[in-house]
Amino acid sequence: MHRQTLMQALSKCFFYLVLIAIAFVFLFPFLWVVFTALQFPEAAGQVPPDLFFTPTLDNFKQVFNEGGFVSCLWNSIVVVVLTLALNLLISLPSAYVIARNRQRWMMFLILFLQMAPWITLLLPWYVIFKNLGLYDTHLGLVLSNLTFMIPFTIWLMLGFFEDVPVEVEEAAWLDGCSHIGTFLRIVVPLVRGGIITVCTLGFMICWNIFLFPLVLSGYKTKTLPVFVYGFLADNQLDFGPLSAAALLTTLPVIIFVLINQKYFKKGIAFGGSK
Amino acid sequence: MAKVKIEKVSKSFDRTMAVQDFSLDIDEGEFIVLVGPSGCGKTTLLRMVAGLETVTRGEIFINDVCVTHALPKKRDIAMVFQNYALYPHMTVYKNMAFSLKMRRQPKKAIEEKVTRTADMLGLSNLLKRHPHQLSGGQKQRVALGRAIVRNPQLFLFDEPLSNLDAKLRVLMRAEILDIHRQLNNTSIYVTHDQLEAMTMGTRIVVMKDGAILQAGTPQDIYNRPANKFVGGFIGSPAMNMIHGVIDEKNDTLCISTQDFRFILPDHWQDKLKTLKTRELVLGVRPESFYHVENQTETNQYHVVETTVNLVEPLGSEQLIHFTLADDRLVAKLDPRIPLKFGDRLALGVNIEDLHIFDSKSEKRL
Repeated sequence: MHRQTLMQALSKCFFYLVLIAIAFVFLFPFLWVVFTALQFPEAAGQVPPDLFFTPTLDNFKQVFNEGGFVSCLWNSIVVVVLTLALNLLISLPSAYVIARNRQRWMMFLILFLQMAPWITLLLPWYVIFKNLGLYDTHLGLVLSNLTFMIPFTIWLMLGFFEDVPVEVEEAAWLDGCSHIGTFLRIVVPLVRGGIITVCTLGFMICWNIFLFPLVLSGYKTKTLPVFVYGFLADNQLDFGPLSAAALLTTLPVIIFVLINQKYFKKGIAFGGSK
Repeated sequence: MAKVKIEKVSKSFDRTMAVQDFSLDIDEGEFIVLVGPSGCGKTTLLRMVAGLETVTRGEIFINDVCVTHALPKKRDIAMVFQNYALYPHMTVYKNMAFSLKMRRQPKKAIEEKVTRTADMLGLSNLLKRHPHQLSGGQKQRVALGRAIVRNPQLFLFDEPLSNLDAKLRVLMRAEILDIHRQLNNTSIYVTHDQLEAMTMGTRIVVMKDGAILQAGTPQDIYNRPANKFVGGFIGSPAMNMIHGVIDEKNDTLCISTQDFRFILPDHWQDKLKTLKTRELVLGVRPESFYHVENQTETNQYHVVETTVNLVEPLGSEQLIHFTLADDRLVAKLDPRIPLKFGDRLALGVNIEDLHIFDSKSEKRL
C-alpha cells in the first residue's frame, strides 16, 4: 500500500517535470524577449545572457522616440477591429445557413480554396489592389485578412450552429419571432462561446499577420508587425528596441486572450468535439 | 378557441409520402389525440398545422381562415415540443415572457400574465432559474407555461411526455388535462402511447402510413376497432388475433380453428353468409377471457382448453400466456386464481366481445 502511494507520487512528479520542460521550451523565446527588452541596449543580445541585471525602460523609450509606433498601433487596431466585425457579419449567417441546410460539401469547397500558399496570392492581390486604389488602405488590409478569416470562421462555427436544436428556433417562430429575429435573439446568444473563440483566435492571427501588410500596406497603413520588422531591416541588429517593440506588440494579444480565456477554453473544447 | 379543418392534406419528402389525403374537422374546445406507430406521419401533420412544414397538397383552415401557407407566427398557435425546446440562455421568466414581448405587450401586462401562469403551474419559485437548473418535469411545466401564457387559439403537443419517467408522466397527463379543462382551448396532441391517447383524448385519430385508419371517441375505438391494426394498437396488452375459417354445420355458421369451434350468434349469421372469403381473423381482448372453473356447467362452444405458458403477476391482475391454434395469446385474469407454468386451463369467451376481421382486407366485419 505504502509502496503504491510512493509510486503514485513519483509518477506525478515526473508528469509535472515533463510539463515544466515542455512549457519552458515554448516560453523560452518569449522570456528571452522580456529580458532583452528590460536590459540596457549594450547588454541586450549577449550570449550567455546576464540573468542578474538592473532593469531599464530605455529600450521602450527608444521605440517611442523612433516615431510611428502610435500610428502603427492605431492602424493595427483599425484593421483588426474592422476585420473581426466584417468577419462576424459575413461568416455567422453563412455558417448558419450551411449548418441548417446540411451542405457540408460547401465547407470543403471553401477550405479547398484556402489550400494555396498565401504568398502565391500576394502578387495578384498587389496588382488588383493597386488598380482598385486599395493599396495602402485600411480596407485593402481588411479584405486581405477576410480571405482567410471567413473560411476559418465558417469552418469553426459550423459545429456550434449544428449543436443548436432546431426545435428551439421553431419555438421562437411560433412565439412570434421572424427568421432574422430568431437568429439574432436565440441562435447567436447560444453560440456565444464560438463567437468569442473566433474573435480571440482572429485577433491573434490578424494582429500578428506580417506577410500581407508587408506587401499591401505603405507608409500610411503600416501595422505593428511591419513596424517591428523595421528594427531588423537595418544593417545592425538592435536587440533591445526590437525586443521592446515586440513585447509592446504582444501585450494587447495577451490582455485580450486573458479576458476571454474562460469562453475561449470552452469554445475550443466545444468546437473541437465536432 | 378555434375550429380546425384539415382538408385532403398530403405531404411528401422526395418520393416518400408522409401524409396522404388527410381530412379532419376539429371542433372548438376539442382535445384531439393523433396516435400511431413511429413514422406514421402524425408529427408531420402536426408540424404542417403549426406551419413548420410546407403542405404538398390540400388546405388547412383555422376558424375558417386558410392558413396553409401562413407563417407560424401568424397562426396564433402554441406548441409544446418533445424535448421542451426552452431557450437555454433565458431564465424561466424570460422563457415565458418571450412570446408576449414579441407581441409588444406592455411590461406590466407581461409580468402579470407570467406571474399568474407560474402560480397556476407551481413555477413561482423557479422564475429566476435557467433551464439547465431544472428537472425534466419542471422543464416540461415551463414549456407548458410558455404555451399557455399568451392564451393561443390552438395548442399543439408533440409527444410532450415521452422524455419523462412513468410516474411523472401520469402526473403531467393529469396536469395537461386539468389545464385543458380550465382554458378549454382546442388542442391537438400527438403520441405513440395508446394509453395516453385513451386517457386524454375527447377524440382519437389512429394513423398508419400517413392516413387515418379510424377517428372516434376512445370508447368507440376500443369497442369497435375499424380494422385489425386499430384493434391490435389500442389496448394493453394488445388484442389477441386468432386465425380461423368460416365453417357451416346444419345451416349454422361457425368459426373454426384446429383447437376450437365457436357457433356465431344470429346477428353474425346473415352478415357472414354473403362473405366471399372463408378465412377470418378473430380478435379477442385479453380481458374478454374468463376463467372457467366447472366446465360441465358452461356452453362448450364458448370455452377453450389450453396450457399455461407463462404467468405475469401484475398485482391487480395476472397475465396468462398460452397458445391456441398456433397463435400466441394473452388472457388478463383475476390474480387470486392460482396458476403456474404447465397448468391446464379452461378459458371462456363472451361471444359478444369478439371482433371479426377479414383476413385479406383486415377490415372489421
